[in-house]
Amino acid sequence: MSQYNLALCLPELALFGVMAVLFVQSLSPDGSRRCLCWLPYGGLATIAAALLGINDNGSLFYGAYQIDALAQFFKLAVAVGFTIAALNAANPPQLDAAKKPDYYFFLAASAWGLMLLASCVECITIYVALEISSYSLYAVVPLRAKERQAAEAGIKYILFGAVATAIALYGLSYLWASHGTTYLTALAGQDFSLADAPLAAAGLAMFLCGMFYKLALFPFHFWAPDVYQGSANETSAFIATLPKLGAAVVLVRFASLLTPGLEVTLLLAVLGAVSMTYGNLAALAQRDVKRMLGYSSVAHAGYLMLGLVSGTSEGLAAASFYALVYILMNLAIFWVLCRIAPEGKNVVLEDLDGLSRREPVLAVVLAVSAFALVGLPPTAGFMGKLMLLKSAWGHGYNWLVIVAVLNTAIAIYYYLSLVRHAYTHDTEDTAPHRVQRPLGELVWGLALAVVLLIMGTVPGAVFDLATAAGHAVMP
Amino acid sequence: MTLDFLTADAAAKALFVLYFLAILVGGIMAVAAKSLVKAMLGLIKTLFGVSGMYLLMQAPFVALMQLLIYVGAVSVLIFFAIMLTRGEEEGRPAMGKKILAVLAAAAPAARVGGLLLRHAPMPAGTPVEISLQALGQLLLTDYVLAFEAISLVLFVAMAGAVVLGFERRLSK
Repeated sequence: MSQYNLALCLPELALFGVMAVLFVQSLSPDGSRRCLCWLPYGGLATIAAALLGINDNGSLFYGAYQIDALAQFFKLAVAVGFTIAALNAANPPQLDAAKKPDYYFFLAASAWGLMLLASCVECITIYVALEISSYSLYAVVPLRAKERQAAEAGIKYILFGAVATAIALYGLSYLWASHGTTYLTALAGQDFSLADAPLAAAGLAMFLCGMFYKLALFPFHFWAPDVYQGSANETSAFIATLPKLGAAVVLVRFASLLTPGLEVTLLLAVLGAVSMTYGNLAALAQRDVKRMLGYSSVAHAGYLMLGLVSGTSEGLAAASFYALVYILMNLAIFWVLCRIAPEGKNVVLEDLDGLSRREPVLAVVLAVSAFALVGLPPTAGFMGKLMLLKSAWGHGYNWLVIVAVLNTAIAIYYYLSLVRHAYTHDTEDTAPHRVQRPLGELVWGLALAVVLLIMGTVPGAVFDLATAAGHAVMP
Repeated sequence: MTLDFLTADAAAKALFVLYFLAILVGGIMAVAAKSLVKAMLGLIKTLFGVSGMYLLMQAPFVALMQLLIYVGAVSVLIFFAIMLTRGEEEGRPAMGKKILAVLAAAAPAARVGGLLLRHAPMPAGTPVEISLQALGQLLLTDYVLAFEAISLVLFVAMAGAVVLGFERRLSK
């Protein structure tokens, strides 16, 4: 029964256990009143399982499920992201207490779908795993008490998602019709040039559109700012980070099918360039911080394309590394936003005024994550971006590298305006009083900032994992 | 008068056009109708057309399932949903927006359609019916993970519907 060797699926099983407990808790009559403080430990157990299985290799379910370095790297990233997001959402102020177990159940289910996605190497399974992750999020977005915006965000997310899925499935039918298989292993080495296999090229491009939607790459970015703005702060922290991992891992797997010079590769490069420019320019004009981060995620989706177009394992490794860095930076900045948001309302730039006096620790975390999002040394954002730029240079996409560097310069303005508001602007009221916070909140925030700094100064260990991940799909 | 001209090939082509029209007209009806019930009728017409396409492809089992599940069950369910909820009267979108929407949909459709017209491989010979046994065999080997994972998709969707449904009830 080697097709069903469950010992290779430890991280999935651990997270599934978390899901099962949450489900039982949401059904039990007084489940909502029972303590949910075990959840971070469940997350830690998942991380431990992912670390334990980091070197596993194998193929399950008749070749549809590949356990390799790439999958394990992303599973670890999902486990880490889920744990931080669950900690971050420990006490959402705008969530009905009776719904708390359900809320976490959907977050866990979504993360579980992403873990599945990390290992899928068969297109239909990829689609189904992606849907597990999306459906859970569709249910979570409107859960924000007394906010009309949240319902609007929910509808937008579902409708855009449905259209993107339809396009992806339609593309899959072309891919299937022209190459007669849905297995990535069989698709590798097939022809994807527009001249010789036009339908396969069109199909591949359309299938990838489904992933672009999750990644919020131009022109599938419309939902990002609206959904970030409309959903509760804790929910947007999750939506802004984890689903991008799922999209990134599928794109990395598919990028191993592509070589530079193909039309599909060119499409990735052009969309990436437009995406970063548009995202950064639109972010300049935003006052709502979550909306600004929404546009910033559009720009970051563009940066990720740098790693995918080069057609080398270094590029794929850089993209994987950047995906991990990206979720950490965003979780750090959302950590600050969720803490300082008054009663869970949205944060505008002016709310940050005087933050350094009121809450110096959170101000430091904000500064570190903003520096990381710009890509300034010595943060992880700098390392990630450096690897991306380096991997894309010299493979026929130098123009894309130049566009990316120019965009980083634009991005400095709005990211640093966050820091400027926190450090140099003062509030109107004369004596800003220090706010007392539970120690745990500050410690976790600082820990995130420290991780960002460590991954920027000594990225070796994590980058080795990413390199192994890149080599796993493109030797 | 003889019916010699009615070869299998010609009949298949005629049926294809018929089903194609049903899908297209139904789709337009579903999108453009002012009342939800009319839109649903359009959707049902489309679903009938699709099941006809399955029959043309020699997949009678899938065609029957399409009729049973989509036309039979899902549509009735949606009718119930329409009946039980009172939708607010929404303003119609402005003409300019409609034109833009049609253009936005037509541009990629024209690209892909052009590709298809020039490069689509013509089907060779008549399709062969795949036995149910072979289908089941595939679902439990090559596609077992997708097949099983679908149950989780349904489960999450159902749980989400329950949670959001209660949300609505409480807030009123």
